[in-house]
Amino acid sequence: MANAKVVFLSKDEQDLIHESSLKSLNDIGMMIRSDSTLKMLSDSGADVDYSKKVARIPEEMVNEALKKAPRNIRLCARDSKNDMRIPTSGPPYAATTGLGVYVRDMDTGEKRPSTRKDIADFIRLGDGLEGVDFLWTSITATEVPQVTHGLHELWTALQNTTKHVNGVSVMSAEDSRKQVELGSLIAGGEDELRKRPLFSVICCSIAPLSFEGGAVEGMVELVKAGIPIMSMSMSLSGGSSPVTLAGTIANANSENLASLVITQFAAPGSPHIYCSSSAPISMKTGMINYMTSEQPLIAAGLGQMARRYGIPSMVGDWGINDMDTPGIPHPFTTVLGITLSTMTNTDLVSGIGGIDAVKGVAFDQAVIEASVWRNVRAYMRDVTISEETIALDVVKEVGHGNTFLTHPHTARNFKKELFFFDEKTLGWEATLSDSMVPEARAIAKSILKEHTVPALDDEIVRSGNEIIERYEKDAKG
Amino acid sequence: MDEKEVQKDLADAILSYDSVAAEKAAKAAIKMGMDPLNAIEKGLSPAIEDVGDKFEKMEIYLPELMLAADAMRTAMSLLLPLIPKDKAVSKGTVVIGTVQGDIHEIGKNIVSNMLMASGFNVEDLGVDVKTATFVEEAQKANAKIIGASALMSSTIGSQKDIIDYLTSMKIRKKHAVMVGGGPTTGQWSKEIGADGWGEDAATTVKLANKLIKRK
Repeated sequence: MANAKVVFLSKDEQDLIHESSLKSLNDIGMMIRSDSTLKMLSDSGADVDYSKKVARIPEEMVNEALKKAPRNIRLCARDSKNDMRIPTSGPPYAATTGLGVYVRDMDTGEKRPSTRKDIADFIRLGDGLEGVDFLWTSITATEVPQVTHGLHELWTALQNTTKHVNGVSVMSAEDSRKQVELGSLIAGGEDELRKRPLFSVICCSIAPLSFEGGAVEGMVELVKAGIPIMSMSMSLSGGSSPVTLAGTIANANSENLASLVITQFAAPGSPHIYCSSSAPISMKTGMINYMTSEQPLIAAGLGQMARRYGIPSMVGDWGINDMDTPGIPHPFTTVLGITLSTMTNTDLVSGIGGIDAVKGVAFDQAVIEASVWRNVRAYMRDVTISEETIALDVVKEVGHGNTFLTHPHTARNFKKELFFFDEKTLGWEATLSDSMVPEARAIAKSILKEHTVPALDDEIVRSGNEIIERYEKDAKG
Repeated sequence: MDEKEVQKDLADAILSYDSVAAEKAAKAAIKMGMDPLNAIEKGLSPAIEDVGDKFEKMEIYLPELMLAADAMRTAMSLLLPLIPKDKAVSKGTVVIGTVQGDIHEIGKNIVSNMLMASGFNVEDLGVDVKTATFVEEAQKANAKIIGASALMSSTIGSQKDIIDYLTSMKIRKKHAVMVGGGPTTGQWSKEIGADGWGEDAATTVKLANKLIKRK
């Protein structure tokens, strides 16, 4: 099967990145602000300095982790027909954005802090959009106590989609336990959830080379319960990693390997997804800048590293609007860069519906990006290269100088072989027409009006609410 | 060497982003008995202002600005202790840090350096700073401004905690609070009753200049 990929690193260059990461983990080590995680690593062979909270991780531990990590992962959904098996060979599966703090209201145009009602609507919209394969929890429940915001987001998302949910928040081991309890209610128990993980969670390292205590302990708790995690490194060239592309790739790779060591020693064979959201910082503002030529190259390098290790990955982005109003406000040059980042061997991408550099979401933006994605992913589809598809027999039958148009082979195969772009979406893109946002808005409204998601059993919803309420009370102490 | 030459060396050190040269020039100024205020006002300050202007005009970028700020800090750390307290040279004090539960520091460091470069006395409390610590340190340093950075949507709530804490201690009006960081917005700042939002480092410095005059 042929499919187009951005190839960036040669075999030798991949070797060098790998060796540099081994050296980085062994010599510089990872700072981990959690004594329990440090102890686990120390017991497994790492050289730990508790006063500095640094674990130096030897090559043998990395190799063992790589050996233990599963090659194939199934990200399950409430409706099993929405399950995703990774690695993919064609286009990556695409998710919504996260984690914003506001919604741009479709009717008033105003930005307002996001609430659980917005999460429910945004997730249900994603459930109804064909270009959306899974749902990040996407926006913050700003009206609930900080300690349970992640739980509310996960719980609201799970109730409003039958697609896989990707959580974006992990605060502590207890928080993770509660996430598992919520998922278990729907799956029918912890063993069932382990067999069919209905959600996965992004667990960030903090570049360069460190872990926040609560986050890393939360990650350990999740993988012990069999919940797939994405070990996201945000290595920002010139900020949290060397300004060089090679240095950024190596740093993100090192952090992913460190996360992998933690998950595979905590829970051997637990599903682990190699993950990065890395790009340079703006040399004017210091802020992350995805709209650069470097971002897809970094993603390509990391996608290759993940494939080399045989670990599924999420290293590309499909969010094409960094401004704060819906539409496609960026020039071809930068939108192309984002597109290339989806062609990097990555199995999963995210970003649909985000605006303002991930700070907010817009419902109409989700429709625009899901629609454009349905066109764009055609570039990544699987194409069969075989004697049958080369079709020499047909060539022989048609003969010199004649047309294939009237040969039955063409009629039989053209719809299978050629992709037909959605003309309406092309119209928006080609003209930057005034109709893009209004039409997207109309589609969003009609989906929100008509699309329903099968409700969870009342008893399950009640139990879930109680879990969160109890946790809130306990946290207040 | 006369005073003018040393002042030029101080300025050149900043303009060439050279901490070693800045230290050397500051030591030379001290050794020759120059009034440290003169060294700052006639040597360092005009140079760092020049650097700030160049940055505004996009003639130089953050890496150069940060190095210039480092050179400035190096020289100031030698000269400031020699100035009597009553002859304060800074615009005022800003207590800055990344909020509780959050260990992101790059953005906060950029802001901290730029504030310092534009003449503020900056007390940088580091990362994962407890709400009470922001307030205690601000009181101790008599800081007119508290700057709170948060990079995660799960930690921006701590910015509100700082404001609530100040209010509950009935000292809300004593300290202006600026908030910033990835997930923050102008609207968030308004909603929690902060005195302003720093969208990026440059706007934060402008904001600080405004807030410091307000008092």
